[in-house]
Amino acid sequence: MTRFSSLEFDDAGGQPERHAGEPIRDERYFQDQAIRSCLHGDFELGLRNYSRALECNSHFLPGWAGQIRMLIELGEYKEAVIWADKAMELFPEHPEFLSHKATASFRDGRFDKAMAFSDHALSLDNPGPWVWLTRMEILLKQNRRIAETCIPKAVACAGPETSLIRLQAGRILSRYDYYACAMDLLSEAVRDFPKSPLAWYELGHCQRKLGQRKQARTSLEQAKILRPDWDIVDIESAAVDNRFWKRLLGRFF
Amino acid sequence: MRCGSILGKSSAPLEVHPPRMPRWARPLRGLLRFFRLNGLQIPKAPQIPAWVETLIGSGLFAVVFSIVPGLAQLLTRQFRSIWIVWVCWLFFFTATGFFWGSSLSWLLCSLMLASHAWIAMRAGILSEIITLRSRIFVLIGIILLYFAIYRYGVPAGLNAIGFSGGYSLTSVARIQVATGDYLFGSTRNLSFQRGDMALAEISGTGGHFQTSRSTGFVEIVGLPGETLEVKDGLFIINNKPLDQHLYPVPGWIKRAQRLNVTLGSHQYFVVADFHGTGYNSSHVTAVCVVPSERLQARAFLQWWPLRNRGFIETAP
Repeated sequence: MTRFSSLEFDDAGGQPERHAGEPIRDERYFQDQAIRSCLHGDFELGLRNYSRALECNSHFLPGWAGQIRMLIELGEYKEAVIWADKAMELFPEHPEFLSHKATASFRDGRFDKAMAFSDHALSLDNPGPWVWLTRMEILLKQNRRIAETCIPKAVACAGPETSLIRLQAGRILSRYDYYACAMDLLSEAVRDFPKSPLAWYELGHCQRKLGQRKQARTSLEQAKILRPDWDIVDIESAAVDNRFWKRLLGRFF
Repeated sequence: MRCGSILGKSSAPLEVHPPRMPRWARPLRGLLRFFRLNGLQIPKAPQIPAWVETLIGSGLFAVVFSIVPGLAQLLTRQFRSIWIVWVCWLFFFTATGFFWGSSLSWLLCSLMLASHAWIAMRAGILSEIITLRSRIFVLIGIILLYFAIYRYGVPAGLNAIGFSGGYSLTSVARIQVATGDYLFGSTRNLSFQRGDMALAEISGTGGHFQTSRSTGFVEIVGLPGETLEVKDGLFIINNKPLDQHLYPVPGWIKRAQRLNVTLGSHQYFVVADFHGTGYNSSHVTAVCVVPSERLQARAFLQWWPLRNRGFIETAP
């Protein structure tokens, strides 16, 4: 070893050494990781991965949109609206950000604002799948039949995201207690993402609500196998078996 | 920016990490969301005209509105800019009240005044007064103004709701009150019994018997119309001695020769501690015989020291 072999220089520093065959850690890589985290039900990690994607490229639109979606999933609606505004400084009047803003406002109980943002998003050119999903969510409160017409529109313009959009549509329907309608979408989602604990959990939840205990138990078992440390599955499983005390204590332990 | 300079993209790195909700905010926001989802509207602050807003945020008016800390900011919707100082003020205000009567309360009171004055400064004066020297002068002026408001306003407010406070001028072993303890009394329905602690203004209490006056809680020993005598170290009321354990005679009264007082129909004989010498019976009479109009309150609560905090038992 020479005297200067351990010295660090600017040109060599900062970039970790990459082995052959290892993927390039660019924004696309972190976006994939974020989607994986979402399908795993870990929205916190998903948010971190989207942030890493933006660290690679701060003008990466899916990164901003993903961050806002993760904030919504984590129940941080106010922050989601702030972040959507921030994203729109880079991408003014983008329908996807407007629709996410509408979703955040809607879930936060600000219906008038949500409707206004959704209307605005739809009035723009090329509304994407997320715009239709938001529309569906808002309309579910008023008229289910009209709301359901938004799903094919969302799927039609989803492109490579079709499976994700189906899963999300199923989750939204399940969220507002339309379990029977959600079942078809979630079953398809489980076929598309057989290793997604989130899809299995949502399917299990719907099955439980519809009284299909045996199927629900099987779905939740799959979710548990895929993600053993997920407490919410234990609570849901306890609910399937109607174990009141276990369900209650499961919230604390 | 100079004339001729070229505007370009900011070189500052773009923030890509979103803001996060603090953990403590989650239940509060959940509650507010529950209200919204169930159609319960939280009333918003009334809209005030722009000229009123300008008026509130300007100089003297800002100081006047800030007599209630944070009111000016609340009306102009700028409360968020001072909420931390307001919380500090509230903390110092509460702590001052809790420790009132102790020397620590003066320190806390000063901090409370400083935070209150800073809230007033932030209401509009800071933007109007630029130089540091002027700001310091104004801050001191506001502190003095608010000190006067607290000094006279708080006792007046307490009086208005029937309370009054003061230090004890005597020690009463029966109820564990020592000289210098802080007591609160009621100013309503004043009627005194023997052994009560009364807030009284007594005269002739200065050093070397000067004609000064002081106000504090004293013990009532003689009631109107009674004849009081001090003999063999005992109080003798209408020729009947009082229990010396319940009503001990202070040393300075013992030393007064031939004390024999007949109280008038509106006079009380009160006991306070003094540590001088050479008092005679006329001095004692001048200090201890107090007309009823000088009795302002009847003690019901011992506030300081903390270990003795509690309600005062009535005399047997």
